[in-house]
Amino acid sequence: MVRDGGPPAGTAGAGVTGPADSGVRHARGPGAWLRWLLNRDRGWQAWLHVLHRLSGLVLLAFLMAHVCVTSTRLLGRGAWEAVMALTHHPLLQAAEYAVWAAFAFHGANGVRVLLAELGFGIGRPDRPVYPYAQVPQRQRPWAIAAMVVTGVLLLAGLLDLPALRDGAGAP
Amino acid sequence: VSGGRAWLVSMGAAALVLVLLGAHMATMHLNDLLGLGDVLAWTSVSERARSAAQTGAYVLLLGAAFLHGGLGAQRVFREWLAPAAAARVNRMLTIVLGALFVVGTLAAVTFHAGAGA
Repeated sequence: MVRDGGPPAGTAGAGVTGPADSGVRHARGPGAWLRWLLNRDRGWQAWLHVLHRLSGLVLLAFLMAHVCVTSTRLLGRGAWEAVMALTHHPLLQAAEYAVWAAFAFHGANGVRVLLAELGFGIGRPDRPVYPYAQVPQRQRPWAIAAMVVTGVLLLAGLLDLPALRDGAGAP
Repeated sequence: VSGGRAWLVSMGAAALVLVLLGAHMATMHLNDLLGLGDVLAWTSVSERARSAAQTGAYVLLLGAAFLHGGLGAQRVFREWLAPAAAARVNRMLTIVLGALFVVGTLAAVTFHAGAGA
């Protein structure tokens, strides 16, 4: 089974939870996560796996803040509008776009992972005749499709940014 | 929930989140492209809150998102941290996410009950 967006075990670029990807399981301690992040000895699927996890953490952090912010509506219209006024700040606009980007990537790549988990795009088991057909090779078109979807969503989000939208409409 | 069962729950929640969050993100972040106007205006927020279906979908999304996010984050922390530290962090995370789910649900339901007031 595929786990968390990583390649299946026993394939090139595998080792999502093993030493080839992270080294963390075998070298915990201060800085282990940094070694996990900066480990360059990975295939492209494992890089997607890393980005999937990072974007997931970004989205979870945003969700936690989002619940707190949206709960201010219980305090009435004044409180809600005061909080919403803050969201027009350029820094928060940039942060909102970063969340959109994380969502676009995490969603598109997540669909790829879900489909692979269900057995789509990983091929049937076949005889081990050289050159070996590997899952990462078969998954590459799916990954490219996911990145194209991510790119389209990023562009759509960019068009919706008030700074750009208002700037484009300015005389 | 742990192991293979956690993975299945996480995938099920992910499928739900994909649909509901996709609709939510498109509505809230592509509102100008889609011609939905100012979706964050108090009148728009109140109007959405009057709908029981939208409030229900919101609570469902909140639960699925916290479930998927919580299980995913716990898995990441188990990789990054030593077992004892990961257990502590994950216990704390479960409490915080549970509390936020209660707060978010109470806010949605209470606002729905008094929407427009």
